[in-house]
Amino acid sequence: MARPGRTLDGLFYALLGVTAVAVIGELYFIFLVAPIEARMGIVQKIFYFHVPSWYAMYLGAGACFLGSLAYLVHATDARDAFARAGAEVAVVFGAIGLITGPLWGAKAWGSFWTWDPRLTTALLSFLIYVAYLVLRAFAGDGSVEKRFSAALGVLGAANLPIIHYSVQKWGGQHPMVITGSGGGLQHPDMKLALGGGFLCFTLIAALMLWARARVELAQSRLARAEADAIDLGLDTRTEG
Amino acid sequence: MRDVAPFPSAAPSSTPDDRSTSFQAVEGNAKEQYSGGALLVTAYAALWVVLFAWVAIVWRKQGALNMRLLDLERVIDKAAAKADEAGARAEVTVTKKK
Repeated sequence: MARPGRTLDGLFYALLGVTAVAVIGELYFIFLVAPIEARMGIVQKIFYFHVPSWYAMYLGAGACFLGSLAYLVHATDARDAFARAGAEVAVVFGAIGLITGPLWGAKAWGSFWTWDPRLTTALLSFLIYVAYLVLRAFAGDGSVEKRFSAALGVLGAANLPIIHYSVQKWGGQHPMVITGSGGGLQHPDMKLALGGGFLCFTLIAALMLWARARVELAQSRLARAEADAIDLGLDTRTEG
Repeated sequence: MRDVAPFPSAAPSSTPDDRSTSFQAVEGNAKEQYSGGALLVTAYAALWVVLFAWVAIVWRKQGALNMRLLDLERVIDKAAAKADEAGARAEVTVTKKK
């Protein structure tokens, strides 16, 4: 019978392969199939990974929220690892969104940044997850610190719906192209390109979450083994 | 590449709410300030740079983890060697007593 670790490794590599194929297909579709937008020109193609990157940021933030909530209910290393991995994914995709958005805005609005409600709330959310990671990096790995971080992971998610509804509630310059009534993507290939972007970024986020949580979990197990070694009177400090 | 896609023929509206429901360039900004192609390439480059930076950070973390693991293995090996030595010494003592 195959070891569970091997099965998981196989699944991971399969997911990696599917993601690679999906990304290559998506790049082909964006650049060679999807039409150029009539008024903005080629820069509109940023949209096909700018929007999915924020969506992937939501996925990471959601993972951080769920992991943190689960940790507060019953503390385990796996839940903490999942929350931390989620925060990291949120920061990575938030950074991509915050870089690519202004590049689009430079062309569409004539300026890289405006204090538009959606931009401001998105920046705030990104900073919340940066704060989470800074806290985890510098506050130590004690159970109190982990619980405090978990509380931040839960409270940090409160801003996510505000980002989403900020455009509807407060207006602003940010486009609202994706709507329930079909949205502003008028060409079917544009819709397909965006759908492909969502698929690719979902797969990439899943891979990142998995890989990062695994490293985090290994780190927790190692820390426990080191503590056991010290309890047995072994000195685990590095020599010279 | 294919032809330019037909876009909604509605004339640009002036209210802020309408303006935020579709893609529209800023009015009155006739001259191109930034090249769309350059912005697109920069955005794609940034995407990959951020992702590769993340891979590098995880790689570094795994490297640090490996170092700690090596330290732990070294300490365990040392302790095992000491235990073996003590066991051998005890065996010699028992043999001598016999």
